Parts: sequence; structure tokens; C-alpha cells
Amino acid sequence: MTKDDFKKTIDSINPDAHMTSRLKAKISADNVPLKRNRQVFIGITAVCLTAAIVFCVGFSALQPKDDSLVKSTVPIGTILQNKQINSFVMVASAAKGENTQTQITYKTLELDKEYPCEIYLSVKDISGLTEDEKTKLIQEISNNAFNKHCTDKNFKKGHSQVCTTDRIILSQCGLNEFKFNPDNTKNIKTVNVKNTSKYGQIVFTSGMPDFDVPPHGNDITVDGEDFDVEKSGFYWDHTEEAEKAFDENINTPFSTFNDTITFIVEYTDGSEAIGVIDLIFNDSGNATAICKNYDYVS
Amino acid sequence: MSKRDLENEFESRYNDYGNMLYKIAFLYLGNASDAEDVLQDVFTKYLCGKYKFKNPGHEKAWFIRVTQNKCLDCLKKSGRKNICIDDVRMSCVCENNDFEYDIISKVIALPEKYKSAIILFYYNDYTVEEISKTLKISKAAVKKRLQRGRDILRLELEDYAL
Repeated sequence: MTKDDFKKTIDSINPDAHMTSRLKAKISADNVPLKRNRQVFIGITAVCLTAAIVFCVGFSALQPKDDSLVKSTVPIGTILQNKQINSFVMVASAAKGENTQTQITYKTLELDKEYPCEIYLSVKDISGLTEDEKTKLIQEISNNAFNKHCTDKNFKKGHSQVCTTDRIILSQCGLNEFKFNPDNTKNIKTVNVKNTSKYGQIVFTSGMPDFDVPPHGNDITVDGEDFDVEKSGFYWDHTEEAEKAFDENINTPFSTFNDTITFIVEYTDGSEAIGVIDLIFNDSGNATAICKNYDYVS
Repeated sequence: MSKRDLENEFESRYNDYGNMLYKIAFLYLGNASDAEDVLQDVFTKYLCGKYKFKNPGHEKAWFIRVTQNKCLDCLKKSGRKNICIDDVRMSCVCENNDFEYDIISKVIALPEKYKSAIILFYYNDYTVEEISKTLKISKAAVKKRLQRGRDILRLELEDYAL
């Protein structure tokens, strides 16, 4: 097949005749803000959130009555509705089984307690394979990476990727997303998330189309005005260092990638909510989150 | 900007890039509905911003890059979707053309990073250097991705090798 054949084939993809009219109607002066305000990410619904958020982090925006730490055992639904809770709460919802949407359970994180985090790493040695075998395997893993771990075919949220070197294929998939649920988002000045391991990085998922490239790295800060409590979040991703580590030694234990993530929400009044979790990988490459600390500094 | 000006501006830009961007979005997302949503986001972003482009090429590159990023954002947000073959067939005009259907469905199934390079090179006629700048990766990485993408397509489409 020639390049022209390829182009001709792609050219056969065309929108229906009414798409222009529909878009024009949507993108009219009545609907498009002329200033660069926040824009709603289309297609993400509450269903998505309930279907697949597997790990959430919640902060209260209100100051505690005293400076002592308050540990809450209130489930997320209550946190979102009750603005009188003066605490920083980490909440995990575990998605298990084939009916995720109906079997989600919410668990309040407690210090030092382990929670499944739905991050999966796996690595395969491809050094002995032919080019065709490598290509086929990469394609197979790309297609199946998510399904391998997620038996729920109705998932709406998550990410997966397959990275290769000449010697290994490293795949990562997961439904993890760290989300904040402050009571009053207007009072957020910044949200800062950092991690300690060179093998991991934090990626900001804005849920809004303002970022061409999502902020990512070991220490990222997002302005409060760019943070949408319902749509924004963060997820853990491995770095090229992880790929290099496996490339050099395929038997590198997954525990090498253990990480510590610190979340800091700074409010406009100068107060801060701080949470720390340890991310621990088991021998199979599955991660567990352990809440190590939470604090509110007025 | 008045409503009329806004609509005129949209029509003008849509006539220039709409069809091309739709094809790109469709190849990323595999269905017409999501592709249309992405286009809405892209043109909304354009109309909301005050972008100064050096030349038409710069403007075109901006539209392509933003469309790709929106598609990736959409995929990340919604998870790696299993694209139903029948949906692909129904969404294309190639309903009765197995050749086109095979090609398009295999391109859609490509891993994202190979897909970007393949689309830019084979459909948008970008050079390796231009792809390198657009995707912000090295030229060597572009070549590797093109090679790997070609390998996958070649394997999948043995009857009509790329």
C-alpha cells in the first residue's frame, strides 16, 4: 500500500453532514465565554466518577477548632455534603469484581492501614525475540494491558501505557486517581503534589482543556483557579528511570519503585492541609497505598 | 466579538481545518461522538483565546497539536476504551469497503505514541523534524516510533503492506 492509498483511506473518514451546524450551534456567542474562563470538559460525568475513581483524597476547607489533628471516619459522600467537618480525610473507594458500578465501597483511610491502589506494573523480557515477535507482543500487550487487570468492561476512567526498550516491555495500567474534595474550592490558593522516587512522577489531569500538556513531574503545583474539584486530579506514573532500571536488570524488584507522595493544599487564608501516603508495590507489581500522615496547619 | 463574528470566525477556521481535525480525532478515539466533542473543545479553545500565529503553517500545527492533546486527555480521562469494530464500521463512510475498514481499524488500534507519529507522517505529510517539534521528542524517537508503527501495521495488514 502506498502513502497515497493510506491518505485516501483516511480521507474516507468524514463527519456527517450536520456536524458543522451542530458545532456552530454549540460554539455560539451564547455558549462560548469570550474570556479564558474555565471550560467544562465534555463527556466526563458523575457516572464516570462513581464508576472508577478508586482512590480519593479529601481535604476540608474549614479550619479545625483547635490545632490538634482530627481523624475522620466519615465516608466520602458525607464529606462532600457536610461542610462542618473540620478535618483532612483520605478516602478510598475500592473497585472490585465485574460490576464495579454497583459494588464500589468507600472506605475512610486510617493511618498506617493498607489500601489497594489499582496501579499495576508488569515487565516482560523481549531480548530473545525476533522483531516480528516483539511487534506482535507489544501490540498484544497494548490491547490487553487494561483488560488484564480490569475485569470490569464498563470502566470509564483510567490510563494505561506500554513502553519498550530493546530488551523489555514495561506496561502500566491503573484506575488510580488522587482527588481532592475540599468543601470550598474558591478558597484554594494552590494545590501542590510531590513525590520522592525518581522512578515515579505525578501527572495532573485537569479535566479542562486549558492545558495543552498536563503538568507532570516530581513536584507540581496547580493554581486554585485551574483546579476543578469534580474533574481535576492527579495520578502516579512511572518515569523513564523505571524503564532504564528494568532494561538494565529485568529482575529489579518492584519494591524499588516504592514512593512517597505528599499533597499540600494551600488556602487563601494561609492555612494548609497536608497529606502523605506511601505507595508500596508488591512482588507482582500491584500497588498499595498507606496513609502515613495528615495535618492541618492554620 | 459579536455572535455573528464568532460564527463567521468558526466557519472560516472550520472550513480550513475541520475535516482534517475530525479525521485525526476519529483515528484517536474511534467513534464519531467523541471526535465531535473534541472538535468542539478545540474550536472553543481557539475562539476563547487570543492566539497570534506566525503563519498558516503555525496555525495548522497548533490545531493539530491541540486536537491530539484533547484526544489524549479524553482517553486518559475515560480510560483506554475497547473500540467496537461495528462502531468503527458504522462511523465510517467505508461501510462496504473492507480495505478501508481494515486500514482504519488497525490505525485506531495502534498504541497512542505510534499512532501520533504515523498520522502526522502519512496523513499530514509532516517531516521527521516537524513531528519531533510537534510531539516534543527527539528525531531518533520519531524514527523509532514510525518504524515500530509501520511494523505493527505491516504485521496486522499483511495483505496490503504499508
